[in-house]
Amino acid sequence: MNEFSDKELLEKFSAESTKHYAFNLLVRQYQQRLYWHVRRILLEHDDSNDVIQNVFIKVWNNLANFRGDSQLFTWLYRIATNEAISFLKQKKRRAFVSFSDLEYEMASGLDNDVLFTGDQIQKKLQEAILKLPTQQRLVFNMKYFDGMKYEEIAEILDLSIGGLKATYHHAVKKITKYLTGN
Amino acid sequence: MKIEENSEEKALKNLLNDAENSFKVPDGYFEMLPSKIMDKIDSQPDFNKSTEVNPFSVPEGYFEKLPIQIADRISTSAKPSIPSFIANLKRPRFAIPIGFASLVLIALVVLFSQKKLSVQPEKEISYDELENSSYFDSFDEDLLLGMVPIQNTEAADDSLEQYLLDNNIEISQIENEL
Repeated sequence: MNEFSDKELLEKFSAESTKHYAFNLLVRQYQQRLYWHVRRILLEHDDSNDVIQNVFIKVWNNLANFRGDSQLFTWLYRIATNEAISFLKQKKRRAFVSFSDLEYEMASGLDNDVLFTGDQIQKKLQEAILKLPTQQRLVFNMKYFDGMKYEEIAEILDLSIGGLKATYHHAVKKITKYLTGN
Repeated sequence: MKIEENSEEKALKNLLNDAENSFKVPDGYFEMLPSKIMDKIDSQPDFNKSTEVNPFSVPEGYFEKLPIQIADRISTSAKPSIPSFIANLKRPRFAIPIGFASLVLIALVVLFSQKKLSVQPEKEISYDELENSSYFDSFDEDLLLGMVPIQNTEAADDSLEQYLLDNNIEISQIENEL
């Protein structure tokens, strides 16, 4: 699929005759990156599917107000991150459990998830990531799995690059410690 | 100022070079160090290699259907929100809360219907209370007589006449009594 530039997509979206077409292109262009970002936070496909649909509906409702101060994908990532974190908080409230209990449930849910085919090390890695504080978890996922630059992560999470580097360093240290059992 | 700093720095360096290193390492430490580091690296789980393949997957054709699902939701979101609310209630995650709410509702209905059925016993009214009641002020005796069913008066008259004869009672006596 040919990738369209942010400018092209926004121009097409601003014209009423090509609005739906442009939005369809946008969804197809960004759905996988955003889905996997959300999935790594929520782990379960059904939850991720709910959230990713809500993300794109928010994008549909607010894209006309996008001023282009940041890159489109940064803006989309920010919406996806906020939606996923809000979803986790709601899930915690609905289930009347603490975050640590919820994380335990999420990790143990991987055992019966037909859409998770990882081995023991991969499961242990997910457990280790779940044990991190939310911000460390987000930074680790975005840097380690998504291969994003510190500058991009800083823009999405509204953090300083120095702080991000320290956060990532702490996350890697904790995960290594968990995996090696030290 | 710069020259002064440089001279100070040089002096410090000279001082350090001249000073004997007070820290020692075990014999052969630096010969063994590279292999020790490599052993440590090898003992760590190689999650770099392990995560090269994404352990998560999605249902078949998911990313082909997703844009259509989103487009459907956007077109339905323009309509009143009640149908989507009801549609959301059909999700399995709402089964327990809905079931619980239904049970509470049923319990409330049963409770209220029982309250209605249990009629409180009426308080007994004394004769005095009845006599003093304003209820009888507007009581129409003619209306009451009209409600009494007409009986066979001839039969009643015969038995009454027989009774008077048997007991030797004069009608004038009754008239005086009244």
